[in-house]
Amino acid sequence: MSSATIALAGSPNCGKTALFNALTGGHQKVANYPGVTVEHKEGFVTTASGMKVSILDLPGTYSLTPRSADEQVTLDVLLHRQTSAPKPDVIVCVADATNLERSLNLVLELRAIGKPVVFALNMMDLAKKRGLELDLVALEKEILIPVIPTVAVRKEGIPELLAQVEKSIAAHAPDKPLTYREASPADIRARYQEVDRILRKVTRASKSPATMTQKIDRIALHPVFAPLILVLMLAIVFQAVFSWAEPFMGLIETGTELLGAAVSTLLGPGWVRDLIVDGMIAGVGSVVVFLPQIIFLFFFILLLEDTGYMARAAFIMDRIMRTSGLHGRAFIPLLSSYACAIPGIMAARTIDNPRDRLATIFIAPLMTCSARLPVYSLLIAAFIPNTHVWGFFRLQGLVMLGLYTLSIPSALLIAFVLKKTALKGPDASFLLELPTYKMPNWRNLFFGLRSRVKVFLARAGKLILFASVLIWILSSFPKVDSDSAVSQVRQSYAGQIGSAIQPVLAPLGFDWRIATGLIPGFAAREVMVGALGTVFAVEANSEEELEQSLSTRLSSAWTLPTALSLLIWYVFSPQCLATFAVVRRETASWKWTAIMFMTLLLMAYLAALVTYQISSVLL
Amino acid sequence: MSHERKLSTLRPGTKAIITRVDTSDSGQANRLLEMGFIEGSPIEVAHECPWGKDPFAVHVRGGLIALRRSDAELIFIEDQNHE
Repeated sequence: MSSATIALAGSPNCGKTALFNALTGGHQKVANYPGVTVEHKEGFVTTASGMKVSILDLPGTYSLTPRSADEQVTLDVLLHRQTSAPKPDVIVCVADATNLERSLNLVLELRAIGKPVVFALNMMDLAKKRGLELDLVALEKEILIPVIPTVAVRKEGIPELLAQVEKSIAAHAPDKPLTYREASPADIRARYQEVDRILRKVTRASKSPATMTQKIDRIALHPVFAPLILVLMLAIVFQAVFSWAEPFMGLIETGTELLGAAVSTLLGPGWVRDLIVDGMIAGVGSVVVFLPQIIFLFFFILLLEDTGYMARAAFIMDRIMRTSGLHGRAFIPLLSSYACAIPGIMAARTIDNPRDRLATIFIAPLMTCSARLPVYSLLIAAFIPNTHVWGFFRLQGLVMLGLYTLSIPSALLIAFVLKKTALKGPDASFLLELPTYKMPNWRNLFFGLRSRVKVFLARAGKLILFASVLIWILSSFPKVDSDSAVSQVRQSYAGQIGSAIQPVLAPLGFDWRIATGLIPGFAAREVMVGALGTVFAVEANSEEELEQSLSTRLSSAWTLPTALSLLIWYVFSPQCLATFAVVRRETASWKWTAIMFMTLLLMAYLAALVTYQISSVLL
Repeated sequence: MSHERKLSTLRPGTKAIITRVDTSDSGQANRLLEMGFIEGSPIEVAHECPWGKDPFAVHVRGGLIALRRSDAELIFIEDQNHE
């Protein structure tokens, strides 16, 4: 046999992903099983003897009784029920040597399937450091499974592991029927008795407790310090996302402009040039520009996960999230949504209760994603006087802060209402292992970051390319015989649609220009800025110029109530197209996607209506 | 069984032995059992959430497991501090 498939199984925090990275190096890809919403990582390696091995990294699990979409996939792949996935020849069960009891329970359950299993005893270095001595020969004899000690982060034990995999495949009679029976409480109790018996036989010296973790937790989970530390962490993350990422975003913008200019000169005037430069390059550029923010945000999320703090954050936040019926684990997806709702919605997969997961997905687009920033900045610069409040705060900054924080209570309110009505159900359980703290592994961080960036670019890129071309067509045709860009926009399909829906938006103070700008705004919020630039026929050479002169024009064209109304609209409005495409894919339900879209649309409409009507009276 | 109490009533610093896990809802019980909440296992409550003391974190079988107090209603313990 010259090719084979290995499935990596193991509990969360056992270093499974580190082992996957050590085995495959850079040769890995993220893919989706057709029909299910769970993506999997697959990697490739060639063994010393020339066997081509593909490695499936399965979602972490403590047992084979599935409770989330993630765990269902693990079971289906192992039992060959997932027809689109390769059938694994060998299961490598990865265990944290410093935390063996739950891993032994899992490996005993895996053994019963009837497929060859190899037990990779990972983090052997940490185990030795903490004084744990195991008799590996005795362990092999007791569990009847080959045991290979590894230190994944230093790539130790990898050749030995691959050699054992080859041996296990050669020794195994294929086509042996697989067996699986969902465990009963009695089964689990019996297995843990077996675990105790095995541990008594193989433990020569017990480990000392993880004193460093206990010391850190005394502060990190301290009744007073815990919230302070969490807030501090969040402050650093947001500082990074909004300030440190800025120069890189500038570079990407410049790059996009240079590319557009170069292609323009190359192609010469004509509709082909307009399509490629104004449609494709500008459209895709408007999404790629957020890449630095997403990289910074995911860097910190991965760092906090890798060190073991993220589980603590979920632990601290659970009580607060529960007041609106959410789960502590929703904290991570919602945090991600501040950069972009797309990765946030995808991260909601780790929430095992489907009702909690749906509620989290529902409110993720309300978190202030970075695409709202250009719209907020433009309108604030145009309409909010840059005066000082109480001598210290600037009014513009306060309005920005207000728009950011307004989304949180609204999101929690929606979640609360959902969990009381459509998603009513018993309180889910919160059962989460708080892993020992570890130094981050930069290699793993890099691989993790790389795969998320790839996923973001692929998903957002494809959709935005399509949407920007569509919107370009809508706003460029039919062609009118006029030099004026304004009349072109007004008479284009987009302008016609804008004028047609304007009466509905009139109570919000929106004129036909806003209505027209909202249409491309559905593709991506920030495109609204460019669209308004076209509608107001602003001739600008740079983005700063565009924003400056556009804001001057806006402030003379619109009233303050209109601007406030538009700002509030943007807090709630259902956007963008890519978000709803991901919602559809993750919920696998057009019904929920439609309900979500309509709810947000209604909220945006009502909130903007109230804002416009009240501020028209007051101001 | 004189000191049998629910795990959900314990505060940080308390050491106890698990005496019984209510398995009337086997789905929920299985999750607790898989995480190591098995009869006879010693436990120690380590931390509580700053807000409302819930969820809380318990040392059990070499791991630190966070759970809601409503989950811990199913686990009965014998308090060792009272022996």
